[in-house]
Amino acid sequence: MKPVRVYRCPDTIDGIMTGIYEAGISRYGHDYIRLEVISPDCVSEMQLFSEYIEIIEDAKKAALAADSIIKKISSAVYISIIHVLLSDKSDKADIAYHFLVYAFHIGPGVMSALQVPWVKQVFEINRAVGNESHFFREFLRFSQTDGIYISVIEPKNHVIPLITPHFADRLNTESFIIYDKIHMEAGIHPASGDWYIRHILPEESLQLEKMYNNDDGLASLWKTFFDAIAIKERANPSLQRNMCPIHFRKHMTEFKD
Amino acid sequence: MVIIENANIDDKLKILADSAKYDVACTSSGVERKAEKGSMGSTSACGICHSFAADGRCISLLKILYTNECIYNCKYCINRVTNDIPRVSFTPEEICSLTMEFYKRNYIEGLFLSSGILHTPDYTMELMIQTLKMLREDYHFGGYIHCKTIPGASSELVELAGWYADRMSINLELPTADGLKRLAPNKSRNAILNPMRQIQLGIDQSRRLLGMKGGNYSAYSYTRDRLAKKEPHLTSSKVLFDMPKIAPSSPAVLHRQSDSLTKRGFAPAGQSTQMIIGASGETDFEIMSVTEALYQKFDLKRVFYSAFINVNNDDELPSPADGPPLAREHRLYQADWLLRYYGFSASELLSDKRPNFNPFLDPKCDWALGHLEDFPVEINRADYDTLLRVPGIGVKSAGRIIKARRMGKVGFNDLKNMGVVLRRAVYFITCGGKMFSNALHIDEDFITKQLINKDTLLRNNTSESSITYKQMHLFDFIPQ
Repeated sequence: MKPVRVYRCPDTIDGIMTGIYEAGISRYGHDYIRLEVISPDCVSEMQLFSEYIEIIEDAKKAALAADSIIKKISSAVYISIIHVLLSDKSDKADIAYHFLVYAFHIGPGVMSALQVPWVKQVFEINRAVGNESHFFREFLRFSQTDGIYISVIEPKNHVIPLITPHFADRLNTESFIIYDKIHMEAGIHPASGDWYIRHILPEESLQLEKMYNNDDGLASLWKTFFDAIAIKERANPSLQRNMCPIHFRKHMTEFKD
Repeated sequence: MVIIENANIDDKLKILADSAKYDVACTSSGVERKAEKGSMGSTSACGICHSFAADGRCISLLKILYTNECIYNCKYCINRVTNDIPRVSFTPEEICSLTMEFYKRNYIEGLFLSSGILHTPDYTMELMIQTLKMLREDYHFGGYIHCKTIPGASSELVELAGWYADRMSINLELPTADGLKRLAPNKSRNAILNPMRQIQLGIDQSRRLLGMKGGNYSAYSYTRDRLAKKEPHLTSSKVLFDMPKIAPSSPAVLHRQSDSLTKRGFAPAGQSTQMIIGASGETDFEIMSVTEALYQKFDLKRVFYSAFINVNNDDELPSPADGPPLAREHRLYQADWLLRYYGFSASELLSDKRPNFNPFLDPKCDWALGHLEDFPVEINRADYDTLLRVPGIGVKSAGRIIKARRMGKVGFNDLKNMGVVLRRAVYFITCGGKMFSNALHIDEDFITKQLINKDTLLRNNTSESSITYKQMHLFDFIPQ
């Protein structure tokens, strides 16, 4: 029996793309290939009769894989893959790889084939990641300290790359930082330049949270408005909870205190 | 009238948000615009809600009145002239700085500005325009602005407001002219319909001058166009409004053409209106017919419904013991969606004999149960508009079904993932000629019972593997 070959990838877009590239050119047989993400907080269980290959992140190989997805399938499919790689699914690398095998076979129309299990999974992950990004476009709040607008969020997926461009456009005249406390990364936009993503160190984290929780004088006006705009005769906490789930409220100005 | 001269900003905000809250529209949708370099604010076509108030309604815009002073005496309105309540007014600077500071913190998507009528309609409209001009030109705000038209304001002012705003709206207030006369004696039907017509023609002209940027069409007109291509002889509803006098071909609806003003287009996010439900005794059928006529004749983006709350405890107005008619309002919104996206007409949903919606079933299920002869439809073959009429299938899921079945057969197990609400749809569909088991005895009573005791069918068949099929029997669908 042919042993299953497991590609172990670092949990970054380039890392997994490198894994996809290596697995793709291996000609080992797709049914015998699995991709795994190396995650820092979980020791994966090694299985007998499997071959393990450690992937080292390689920007060039990742770019080659990306290029061929865009050219041979479509840029829409590439964007769907990026969404998958930004998700918190532990088996995301394997899903992305096997979806791509099918996508190279079918072509640009692949996303329509929701009755195919790999497509279905990619579709579901895209919906979840897309929805969460949209929630943060709605619900994240900035607080101003020394002319810098700070926001702290706790998303399940890596939403920073997906939401920062939205704010960089509409707030292009301002300096802001959106800090993702869960993944310790931040989208940073200086008033005078382009935005970028940076890893945040523990001591910086404390400082950002302190700046965010600092009252900048507008919070109380916002709360006044928030309370005044509700119609008492229509009070409906369960509808409010459906529309704005409790776990988003932790960092929302109007729900604090 | 108690006019407070030196109110602080917090008090003003409290009073003027409180008195603006009965306006329903808080949408920020209909126009996609990126920020200009160096100015603040963009808009998103789908609209962005920023919070949800204790009543569960979305907060998207800073919804305030310019002032709650008012010379009119509309019986339903908290701000009517005879009410003894504190009165305050914002200044344009205060509104601009509140909007900008809230916007920078991602509290809001933009401004919704309405007003009580101070001195005269024109005087009030001028103050509102002064505020919008300052916000756009001095504060360089590029976010969303929804501006109310004051009934009775001159057409020059209405036009100017349309150049600054993304969406314009003027409230129809009550579905019938008679109701308006009784409850809002100072407002005339013409003072509402004339500006509505003017804005419609303005948007149309802006669209011809600027293309899509000048404003896209409403969902209702897209739906009707699609259906008209299939059935060119579609009947239009009876005319409920006397058409205002501006001729549709009138060339010069829009006058001001300086580039800095026209770059955003004229009310590019379109026009909306709202009606109060349950204050003046109309039936659902009357309301839906008015709605349909508004969509057809005025190309509105949205019609909003507002369950009446007797805030003034006025004896002439109803005060139902079980609170405002929220369930009725909900049914009207559901039906409104059926008109705009699903291609239903008001007369299909209701009739003079059955003038009100069924409180226990949503309007689409109710319609389908009355038309069992059209069902079941085959998921793998039915066209888009037929799929749209199946309970449990929506605009998104119908689109996904159409695309997916080009790639291969679609079965019951695939439908859930596509967003179909199976517990409603199963009674009305086949997949590959087969019905969902247990859904076989099709008659109106049985399905009604199942739909009301929802979930019972699926609860017996929850795990996917337990789904079984039976060949459809020819006579199962003949109503007994």
